[in-house]
Amino acid sequence: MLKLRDLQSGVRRAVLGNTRPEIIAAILGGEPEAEARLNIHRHHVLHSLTEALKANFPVVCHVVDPRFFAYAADAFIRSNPPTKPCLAEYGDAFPDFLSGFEPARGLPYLADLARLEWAAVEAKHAPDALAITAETLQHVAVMDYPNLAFTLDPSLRLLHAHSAVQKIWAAHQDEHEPETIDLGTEQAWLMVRRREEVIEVVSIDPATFAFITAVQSGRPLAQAGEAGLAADPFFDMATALRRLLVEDAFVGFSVLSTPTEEALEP
Amino acid sequence: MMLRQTRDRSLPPATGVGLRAPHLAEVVARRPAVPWFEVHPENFMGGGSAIAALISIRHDTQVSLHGVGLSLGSSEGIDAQHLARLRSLVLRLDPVLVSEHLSWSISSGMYLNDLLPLPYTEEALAVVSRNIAQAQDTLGRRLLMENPSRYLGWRHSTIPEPEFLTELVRRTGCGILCDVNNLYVTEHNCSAPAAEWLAGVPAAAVGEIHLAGHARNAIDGGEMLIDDHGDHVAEPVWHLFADAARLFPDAPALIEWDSNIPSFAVLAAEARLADARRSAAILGVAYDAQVA
Repeated sequence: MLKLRDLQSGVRRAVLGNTRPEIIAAILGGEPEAEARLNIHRHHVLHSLTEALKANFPVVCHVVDPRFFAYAADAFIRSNPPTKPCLAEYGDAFPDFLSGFEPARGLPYLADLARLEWAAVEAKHAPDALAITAETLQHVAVMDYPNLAFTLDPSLRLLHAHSAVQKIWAAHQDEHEPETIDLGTEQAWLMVRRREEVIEVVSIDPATFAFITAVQSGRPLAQAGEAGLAADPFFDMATALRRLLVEDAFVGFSVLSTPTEEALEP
Repeated sequence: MMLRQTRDRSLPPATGVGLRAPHLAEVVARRPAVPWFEVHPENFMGGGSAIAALISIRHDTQVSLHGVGLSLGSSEGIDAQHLARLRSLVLRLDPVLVSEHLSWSISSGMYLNDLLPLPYTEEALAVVSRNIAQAQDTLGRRLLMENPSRYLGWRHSTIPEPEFLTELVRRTGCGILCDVNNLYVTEHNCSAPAAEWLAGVPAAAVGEIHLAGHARNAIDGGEMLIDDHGDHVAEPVWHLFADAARLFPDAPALIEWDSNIPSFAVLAAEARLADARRSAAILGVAYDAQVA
């Protein structure tokens, strides 16, 4: 008799790949009938997971032929089935999968577009948090500013793309979508956030991108400023800081006790 | 058995509506008069607008949580992380009912997003009992277990489904969610008589009845019924519902619609139709669509 564990791994393999004869033999009815019955489950699994990917990657789905998307989704689902029952969280590995997917080689922007869509998915489901205001910082002594470490809006995501995929994304949000989009050859440094329940994608300069990346990883202002300056010697941290504060991007802060004098030295 | 709530808070036996993403904003804005809503907890585990909308609905309407992801039939046990997320949702929403399915969907940590059929064996009975007990202890709530739609039967099954459910109730104190559409689909696909099921489960344990539509698919010369929740409730399913309403008069019913989702008004009308059918069944009169 088939043990439950073996039956379940056998059905999982049958649905995602190869059917072993002992699974078919364990199903009531003759062989073609058993295969047809099992196929109802196989179809449901692949179809419903493809729909989940379509929901999370609507723009990728829109810019390629529907058959191509179905083909890519099928291959992805079989090699990367979900590990959690929340399908809104399914597809984090899809962008990397697309970048290595041979049939997508002629569409070099596709993986970055998928990364942008995944950032939007994460932003959509990030927890809510109340932004701090400039007044909150009034109690911080000026000498402590270099040691300020900010907590960013939990929905904020940063994405460095090799082409201007935000143009495709933005065009898709618009009802009057243009026929063609010139991606150009320029790279894009993007910040994705959820604000007032709307997903925003904004293009920022590489130095601000480096600065926010450092802040996001918990670095104090002095070190984050260094990161910005390393990307662009004319980086103006005060402007970047003011903008983030005004745009409600900070939800908390702490003054780190670690001395950062070394980082302050030019 | 650990300490847990012994009795579900009561819902009036009026028919509720399964609330899905396309109707969420409309329900928040217009607050239609629906006695209660049921949602899939998996769709509300992230942050953002969905959970905020549900919490606002919960302020004036009872909400039931109907899980599809716990995989209570998995031999490897249940995903503790998912159970913890369900627990925090239960704490936030204080749902009037919490239910799941007699099926499995996880194997080796991979989630297949389908309610896959269990073999009804002593081994499976022990696995499901253990998993239900763990879930009930963690959630501090009694679970209602729904009979699944079945498309295949396992040769080594030895226990009829109503007996399997009866034993789960005895071992874990769980309740039963009677899905009459699933009973009909399973009777057609796997020759498991719905009447025997209805007569075979302990009536006092049935805490909810589900209603939905199904599709017909031609397969290898025969016909299989597919539980796609994509249509009005079919006439023979209404007849099973009348039987269920007589047998389980305190169990509230719910309309589920998950594919080809119509306007909310259509769902609300289907729920009112269920109320009329229930009243007719309990009063022992034939339901006449012309009169209604």
